[in-house]
Parts: sequence; structure tokens; C-alpha cells
Amino acid sequence: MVVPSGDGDDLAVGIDLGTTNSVIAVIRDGQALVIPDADGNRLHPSVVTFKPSGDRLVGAGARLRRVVDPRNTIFSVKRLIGLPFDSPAVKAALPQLPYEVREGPDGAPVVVTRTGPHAVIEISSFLLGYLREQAEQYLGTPVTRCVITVPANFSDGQREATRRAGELAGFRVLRVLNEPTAAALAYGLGQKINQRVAVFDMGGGTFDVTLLAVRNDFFEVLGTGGDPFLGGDDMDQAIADMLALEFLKRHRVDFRTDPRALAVARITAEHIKARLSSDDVISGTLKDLGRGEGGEPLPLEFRITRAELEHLITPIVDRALAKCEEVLAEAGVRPDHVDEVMLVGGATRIPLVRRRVAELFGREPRADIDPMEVVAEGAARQAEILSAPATAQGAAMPILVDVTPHPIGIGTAGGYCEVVIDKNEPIPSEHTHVFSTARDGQTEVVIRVCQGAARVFATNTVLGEVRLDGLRAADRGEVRIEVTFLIDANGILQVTARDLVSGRAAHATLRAAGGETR
Amino acid sequence: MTGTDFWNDVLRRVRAIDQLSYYEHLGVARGAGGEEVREAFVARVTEFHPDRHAREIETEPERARALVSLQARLNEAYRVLSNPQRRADYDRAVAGGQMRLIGRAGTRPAAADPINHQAKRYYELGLQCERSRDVPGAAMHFGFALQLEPESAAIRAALARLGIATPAERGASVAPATPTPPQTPPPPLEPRQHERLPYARPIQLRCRDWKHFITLHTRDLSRGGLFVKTASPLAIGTGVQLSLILPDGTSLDLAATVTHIVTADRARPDAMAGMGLRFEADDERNRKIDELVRHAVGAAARGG
Repeated sequence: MVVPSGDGDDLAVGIDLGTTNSVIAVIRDGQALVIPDADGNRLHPSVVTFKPSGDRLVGAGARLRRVVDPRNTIFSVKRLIGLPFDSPAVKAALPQLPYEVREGPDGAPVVVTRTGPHAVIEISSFLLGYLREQAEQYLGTPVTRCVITVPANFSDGQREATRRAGELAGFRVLRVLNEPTAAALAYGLGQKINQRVAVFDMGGGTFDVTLLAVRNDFFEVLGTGGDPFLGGDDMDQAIADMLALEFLKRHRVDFRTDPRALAVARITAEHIKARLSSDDVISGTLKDLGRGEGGEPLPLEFRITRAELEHLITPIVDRALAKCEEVLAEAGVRPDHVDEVMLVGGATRIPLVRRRVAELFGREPRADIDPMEVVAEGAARQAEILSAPATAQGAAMPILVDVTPHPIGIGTAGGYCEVVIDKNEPIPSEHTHVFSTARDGQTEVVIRVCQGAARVFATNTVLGEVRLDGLRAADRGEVRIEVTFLIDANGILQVTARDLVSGRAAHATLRAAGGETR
Repeated sequence: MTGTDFWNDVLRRVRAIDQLSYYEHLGVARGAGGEEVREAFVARVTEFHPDRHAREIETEPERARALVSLQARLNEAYRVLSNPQRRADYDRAVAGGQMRLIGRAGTRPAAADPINHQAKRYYELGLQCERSRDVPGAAMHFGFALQLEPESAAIRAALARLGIATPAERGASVAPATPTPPQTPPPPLEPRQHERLPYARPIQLRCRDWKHFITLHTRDLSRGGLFVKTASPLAIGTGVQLSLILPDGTSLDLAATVTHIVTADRARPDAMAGMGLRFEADDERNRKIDELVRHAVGAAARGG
């Protein structure tokens, strides 16, 4: 049982599976090592393309095909994973995706390419499998164990889907870890500090803020919150829309109806956003966004200043800052009581974001942290902790206690919601509730589970239901059922039910909102 | 550290999990200060956290489950004892023999009568109704009692007897969604056949000679009628048609008569402008109204 970590097939990696880019890292001799692809790229684009030959291409090579083959080049699947097709999140994402997404037989979104339909989990597993190959080639050993990070605000279903994608890629998934927490782990490990740390994590698709108390390798999350639809992609979209309006004004053609032109505009927008983080102005010409009546290519000249960009993205930054204040208030921590501020994710490289965060906390964020790699590094640290043999578990091993990002509730009579697990409860968290039957002769109970604390059940995000049947028929109120809600260290909910009188534990399944059974 | 002694210790702790107070779980005295509580938590976690035994429990699901349960309870203990408000609530709960702030029926003392004297009065009225087989009346009185004393096992048991599911017992402070005390406890202000119950919902209403329904909001409901909020109440004696949404999503159409009104200029904070309507219902409709009242009581019991 005792096998030294880092030995052969035992190698455990940390993976930051991003909306736009992914990073994979491993701990070697105590040092974090970010694994590059064959060309030396340390950021692996989260893109999968299906070529006309039927070959699948992932990573940097696939990204280039976003323009030439937008219908078969799949990106931003993190915006779809673990969500039902008819969810508002998926509805919001679809107009921005040039590839086809349909509703699958289980209610989950399915991506349709020239090679046929692919479940979103499958696309994610292709990304993870590619990362695994990169690591195996680079390290020269099999890699079978990993920690995968997710946004702190990911729901139960999104976490579970991510975990399953990892398993589909051949990994043993040791932990689904929150991205900001991973970043804090990478930062605070091995340092004799006693600090309150705020992690401001704004990536491509989602925004999280997490507060931690870090003391001598004991990492205690005090509170977390976020917005699953807020990030750099929204800024790209705002810039692309601005280009489209300019084009429309000039040529009376809306290029957004053309997936190829839209892809060009989005990629240009990403470029403009990145360049204006260092430059004050950017200008250029897009040659072929649309065609005139005679079929002639229509150009678009643009010139954008940093001030114009900042004006454009201020509403997005405002939303993030407001969320940040809310999380501080919930945790009962004043901004000036935070000792360190860490910036994580690509969008935090934008000067406006850095400036506004510094204003809120009254201190400059740390400048010595790589916002793109720190999450994968923290994941690799956690992977090492979870792979350490028992004999190595001395006082030196760090411990991480994270929290629940959302309250979990159940449906009660009259369509109301009763919270069974609060937001910001340390995990693992286990609660037991006792219910009794409401009708004479009732042999089945259904417990509906939701995420959220709104009084009316239906206004929360429904996670699924637990059905417990085969109860003995008795007068109402006589059959008492004990239901245990456990949020494990992955933030994934498990529900079990037991008949208290007979002691019979009945099989209970939480049916996920996509219709999937687990 | 992870030998047989360790696992025996873990199993012993898990077996006794519901018999130990949070103080005992963390191994601190009642008066322990915040820093002491934190240090004790860190020490326990350092010893028992599942992550510290991850490799060992990968192939031992039962040991893994035991450590997860133990860690969950340590987390709960720390969360409560490190927060002054939660700790004060817990100290009251533990004085009553409750080992957790969030409930588990097995650890509660036997159901005692309500303590709050008003809650006790409603509880006793409920018992009277129950004896005379007046289920809606009993449900309503028990619902009021529960609003005044949400922790009472006796009231919850009474509601359970009537088939109104009350979620398991829980502490008031850790559960923002648990019953909030009613703003105005509804004492019987005037002699009326049926007691009123808070019931704020949109309903559809029209006069018999109107073409369209309008949407108004209700304030309260009884088996005899309901009170609708409006700044321009209709004249007393006016006949109206109502459409209520029942808990199962179907609608119930009813005739009613305006029996009393509070005009906008006479409205006070405790008597809002609006009109009281008396149902004119047949047996079938009365049965449905009873059902609605029972659900409303259930909702009121949970602070709805």
C-alpha cells in the first residue's frame, strides 16, 4: 500500500481545465512543473476539432481551425458541461457558439460535428485525454491520477460531469478542487504565514472570489461566491459587437450571421483586449468580414484606445466588484482586513481590473503570481497531498478545508423550499433530516433537491429528486424516513435514505436535471 | 499513527458521534476562547482529516466513510463554536439535551409541551380541534403554535399526525429559511366562524358584470373567505367571481360576496386597505378550500 509518490504509474497531476485554455502541472522534487506541448506552449487551448478526414485534433493545433472550420471546431464547452440543454446558462451560451448544439436524449446538450454527435462530457474528456498524453510524453511515465479544478461557483451537476469527464479520459480523479482555493494553496504553501487572503479569479467564462484564512499550511476557506456568466469572453463579445456595429454602420451588412466572420471578430476581439493591456491604442484592418453586392470583400478599419475599451468593459468589472463586496460581507470580513490579494485568470491581466481590485481592498494585488499557471500548480499540490503515502503524512502535510458555494434545499408541501445545507459550510458536510409520510398507506416518498435558498422551490435551480419506494404501508406519519445529505470534499452531493422504524436502508438516487442517473 | 489503535479510535468516535457535544468533539472546555477552539480544531483535523489518509482509504470505503462523517462533524462543531451567535444558540440547545444545532430526531429529548405560553394556547386549541376531528382547524392552530415556537417537537409531532410534513427540527440561527416569527400573531380579534391565516398570493377576480378578470393579492384566508388587498375596494354586498390557484396547480373558481371593506383613507399599518370576501361554495368546493387551507397552514408552519 505504501508507494512513494512520483514513482512510475503513481504520478498525480493537477489540471486547470479552463474555458479557453487549460494548464497541466506536476510536482517534482517539491517544485511545480508546468507541462508544455511539443512546441513548448504551456497554455493548451481548450479546443477540439474534427477534421474532414475524421481525425481529431486537440489543443494549439485545433485552435487555428476555429476560423477555417467553425462548425467542427469546438471550444468553450466548459460553458455547457453538466447543465441541462434548457437551462438559462446554455441558452445564453448558444448564440456565441458557431458549432451546432442540440438537446440530447437525456436532456443534456450534445455537440454535433461532421463525425456525429458528441456529449459535452465526451468533448471535455478529449481535452483531458490530450493533456494526459502531453504529460505522459513529457514525463515519460504513465499518468493515471489527477486533481481537476472547477470554478468555485460550479453546481453539483457541473462538478459531477467534470469528474466523469476525467474518468472517461482514463484518470482516477482524486479531487474536484475549486480554482481560487487551488491558487491560494499554491501561493501559501510552505510559508510560515498567518494571513487573510482574497483570491479574485476572473477567467474566460466565469468569475469567482474566495476568502481564506491561511496559517502554517492550514487553509481554511471563509467564504466564496461568484458569477458563472462573467469573464473575459463577455469582454470579447462586447468588443466583437462593437466591431459588428461599426461594420454595419459602414457597409449596411451584419457579419454576425456568418459563423466564419463571427469567429474572426471574436479572435480579433481577444487580440485587441490583450494588446490594450500593455498598449494605449491599437489599430488595424480586417479584410474580409463580409461581401458587398458585387461579391467584393468588405474591409473594416478600426482604431481603439485603452480608454474606449475600459468604457466598454466597465459594466462587466462593476458586476465582479459588487460580487466581491457581497462575499466579503457574507464572510464578515472588511476589505482592509485582507492581508493579501491574489489575481487569477486571464481577465485579471487587464489594467482596469487590477486597478479596481486594488481600490476595493486598499492594497496592490500580489504581482509575483502567474495568473495563468497558479491554479494548475495548486491542483498539482493537492494531487501530491492526496497521493502521499500514510507514512509521509507527518505534521508537514498541508490541510485544506473548503466550503459549499451554494445552499442546498429540498421541496416541502405547498411548493416551498427548506434549506438543508447552508452556503459557506465547511466540507465535507453531513446533515440528517427526518421526514414522515403524509398519506395513509403511502409506500413511496419523493424528495426534490435544489440549489438555492429562495422560498419558492421552483425558483431555485432544481438538482434532481430522490425517490424512496418500497416503504411499508402504514398510517400517515407512522413511517419515518431519515434522509442524509452529504456534500463530499469535491463539493458533490450524495443523498441516502433509510426507513427509521424498520431500519431498512432503501436505495435512493439523485436524478440529475439532465435526466442522467448516477 | 494510522495503526489499529487509530482506526479503533475513529470507529469509537463515529459510533458515539451523536452522543458527543461539539465541545467534546473538539476536546475543549465550555468556556474555551476562540483561539483555543481554532487550535483544537486544527489539531483534530490534522489527525482525522480524510485527506491525510487519502492513500490508505482509497481501497477502504468503510474507513473512508467513517473519516468523512467524523470530519463533517468536526467542521460543524468548529463552524458553530467559532461564531459567537451560533455558539450562544448552541449553548441553549445543548442545555436542552440537544447535541447538534441542526437536528436529528434521535438526539432530541422526548416531545414536551410548548414553552411559550401563547404557543401553548394555540397548541391546546389545536388539540381540541383534533379531538373533535376538525382537521383544518387543528392544522391551523398547530401552524400558529409552530410559528411562535419553531423548535417544539410536540407541535411538529402534532402536525405530522395531521399529515402535514414539517421538515426535520433545526436550529433557528443556522437556518435563514426557517420560520420567521409572524409580524402580527393572529389572535382572534372578532367573533368569526373561521379563523384567518396569512395567505399572500395573487388571485384573479372580477365583478359579475365585468368582462375581464383583474389580478389582486390576498392577505389572509380562512375556510369562510379571504381578504384581498386593494386601494379601491368594491361596495359591500357586491358579488364577484374568483379564481384561486390550488397547491396542485389547478385553479378553483368560486363565487364570493364582499362582506367588509377598509378604504384607503381608513387604512392603518395593522389594517391595510382592501376587502373581505365571503365564499359561496358548495360541498365539493368547500372540500377544495379545506385542502387549500391545510396547505396554507403547512406553508405558515414553515414561515410562508
